[in-house]
Amino acid sequence: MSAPDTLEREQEPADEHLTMGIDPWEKNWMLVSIVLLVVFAAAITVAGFAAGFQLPGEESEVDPRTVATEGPWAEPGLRELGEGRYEAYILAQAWSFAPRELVVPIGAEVDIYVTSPDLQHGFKITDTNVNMQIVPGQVSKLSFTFDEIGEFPYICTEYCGSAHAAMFGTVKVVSQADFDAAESGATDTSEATDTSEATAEAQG
Amino acid sequence: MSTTEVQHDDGADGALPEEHFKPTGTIFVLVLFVATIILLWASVYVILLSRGVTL
Amino acid sequence: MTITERAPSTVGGSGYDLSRFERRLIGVHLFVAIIALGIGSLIGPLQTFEYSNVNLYQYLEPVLQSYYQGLSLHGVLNALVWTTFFIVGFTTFTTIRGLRRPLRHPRINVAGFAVMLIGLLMAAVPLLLDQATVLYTFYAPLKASWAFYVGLTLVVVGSWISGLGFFLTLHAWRKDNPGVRSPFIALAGVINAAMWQIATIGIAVQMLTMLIPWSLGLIDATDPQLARTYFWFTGHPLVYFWLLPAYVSWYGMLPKQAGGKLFSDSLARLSFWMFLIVSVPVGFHHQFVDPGIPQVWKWLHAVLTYGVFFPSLLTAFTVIASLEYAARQRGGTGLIGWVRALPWGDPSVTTQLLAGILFMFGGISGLTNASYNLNLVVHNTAWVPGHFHLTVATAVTLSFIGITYWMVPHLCGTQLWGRRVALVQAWTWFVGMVIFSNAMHMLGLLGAPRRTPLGEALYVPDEWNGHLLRVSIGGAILLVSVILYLVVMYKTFRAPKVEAALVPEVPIAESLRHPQLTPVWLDRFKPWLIAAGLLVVLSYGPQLVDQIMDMSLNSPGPDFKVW
Ligand code: HEM
Ligand SMILES: [Cu+2]
Ligand SMILES: [Cu+2]
Repeated sequence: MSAPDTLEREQEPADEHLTMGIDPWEKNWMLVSIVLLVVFAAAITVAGFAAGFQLPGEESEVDPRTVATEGPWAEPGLRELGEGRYEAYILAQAWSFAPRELVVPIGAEVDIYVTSPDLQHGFKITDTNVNMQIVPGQVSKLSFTFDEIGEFPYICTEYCGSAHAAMFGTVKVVSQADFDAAESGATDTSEATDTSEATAEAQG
Repeated sequence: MSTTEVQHDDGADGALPEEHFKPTGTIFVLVLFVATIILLWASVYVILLSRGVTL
Repeated sequence: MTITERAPSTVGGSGYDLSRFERRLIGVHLFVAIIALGIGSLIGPLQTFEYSNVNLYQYLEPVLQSYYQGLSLHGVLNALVWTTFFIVGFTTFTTIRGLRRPLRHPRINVAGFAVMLIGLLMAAVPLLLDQATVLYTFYAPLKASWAFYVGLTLVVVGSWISGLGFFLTLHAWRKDNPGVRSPFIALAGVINAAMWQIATIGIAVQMLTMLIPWSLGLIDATDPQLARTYFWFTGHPLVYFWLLPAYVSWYGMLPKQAGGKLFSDSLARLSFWMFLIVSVPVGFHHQFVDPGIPQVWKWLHAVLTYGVFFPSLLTAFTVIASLEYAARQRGGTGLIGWVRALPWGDPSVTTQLLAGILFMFGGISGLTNASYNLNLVVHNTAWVPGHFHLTVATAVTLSFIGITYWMVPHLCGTQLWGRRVALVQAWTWFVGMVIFSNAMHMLGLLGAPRRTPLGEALYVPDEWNGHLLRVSIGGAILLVSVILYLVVMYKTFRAPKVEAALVPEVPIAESLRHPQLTPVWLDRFKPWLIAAGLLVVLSYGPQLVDQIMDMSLNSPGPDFKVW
């Protein structure tokens, strides 16, 4: 778009370039505004890049037409990676999450990978900072350490059709003993009093 | 009305006399505003910090 | 000092009377807008009642199949139709009255309206038939009827055509008035139209290269991530497209209505130019928690979003100072007591003052959303509708309502019917929104999702119930407000014509300083348009190239109708 440029220079009073007739108080206000925004920008930058409050980023891509039947989401769920480290593959599809329940031991650091074979969904674990948009063809990933025992619903936060309001699952954070007991299929968990014992039992 | 003349005989900056009014009330309102911004924004920041890192 | 002794650009009073044709043209825009707001806003309270388990949808089945069909209508009619038709009509008005000359090519503007109207009707059919229950963001691969996409595209194209008409009119005025600063309200309207032109490239590409061919069966799948990026390229500046006309009124008209002057003509212009350059390159702040976009780009858009917050902070100063000046002229005193001296008996003023107050809070929650990782706390929660009902549904909508309180009688040659009723309308909107929005923000912090009939959701803890109830109470108060507004408009429209002197005047505020003193660089399009283009290329270019090169149209969506 070209613009009319008909105004003549000499009509400007010389000092107007600098002052624009701005009130001194208004100038102070501009300064305060800038300082405020710079401080906030610093705070989010530090939280994001130094303290680990990260956003999902570029992860990987998948074919939404096959993701439910081939690859890690064909068997969604939790897998152990090593000492206290896990990964969870979760499939969001109209209108449920697979798995519906994710049992993790307290203190577990879990890499959470979510994708969708059909529509966009949301994935937000209540009372945590895990909050992701789930987009077909893309993998959304965040890592989170669960260090509080309890039940934390993960809720679909994006409209995905008529039963969207019914779409949720639950993270159950349990003690290491309960976790190991559940892992080993033991029915009586009351005897597992401490972690090492439980682990030994599970291995034995 | 349509051809109102403007006097600019009152100083090099061409201001009308009214311009010299000091907007004290505005400053007061804006101080409250900034305080509210900081308070509310910081409270969400604290919630973020309290809910754990997403490394 | 060599200042041409021309008419200052912003002087109140008459000087140009709109022709019958111009009144009609503007009037039909407002008519469509108000009908859309009427229908769209009546659905809002239904949603709030659902939150408290009062499900009125069962009685509306012949017209509304579901909460989601209602929500699609609510979003499209309010956020897209009411706003766009009002803005194009209002900008037609400010162009003509600001410049005091007729449209350069009235046929272009008539054509713009016609295309918008055809588009609206095309989109309305599938919406009403439950064939476009995809919400106003139509995220792929939710698949609506092709008529919905084509219709919305035509609405945008129509707004482009009208924008061209405004631009040519300003251009013609400048030819006739060399060396004179363009009148603020006219210039500001055209800046908004120019910004819209740049901003809507995103949605145009999305529609033409993906959604329309897909809905017509020409291609069988979409790339939902790329579609989101296109959408939000337009989606954020969209909110400034809504907001800037309200700013035109706050800067250029409200001071006059309050009995004062515009505090700073230069800063008013400066903030509009800043909006032109920073409204677009911030769209990733709607995609903070998206996969497929590197964090550093999100961070960049977060910082640029802080940049676009700055002119709004300037606006706060200039507008409040203009009002304080007015109030002191009216005998107001005290540090805060002057506020009482403002003309609170004038519904057109009261609506805009209340809109401005809530906008300060909307600005705070917006700043929070936009703060990069703070978005993890609130993304897609009820916080977000809590936020934008303070901004678009109050700052913008209540201001536009206030404008119609003088403009509709002005155009009809009548007087406003029911001043007191209109005042009650203003206050009920304010009170209803305060309750509604506060509760929504709280729900969001607790983790309640948006776009969800929470009454039927299966995971609602008791902790949420008090807030859910407050949402419904706010909605009930807002219902009263919407009905009052429609009554006032209908009665004003049907009121007996009165003699010209009794018809409301057009409030155009003078500037405290002569506009001719405003530096000339605040009156030129070229440098700002170049800056806007550059910033878009820098902030979006690499990511867009990446995502387009990487495009995989492999997402067909479910093979059944999901709603
Ligand atoms: C008059 C009273 C109003 C009430 C009671 C109301 C209520 C609501 C509620 C409860 C929601 C959230 C639904 C959900 O997330 O599940 C919503 C969404 C929305 N409202 Fe309103 N609203 C009103 C007016 C307006 C106005 C005037 C506008 C715009 C000009 C507007 C624009 C929107 C938009 C864009 C959405 C989001 C739709 C979506 O998520 O797809 N609302 N409204
Ligand atoms: Cu969903
Ligand atoms: Cu935005």
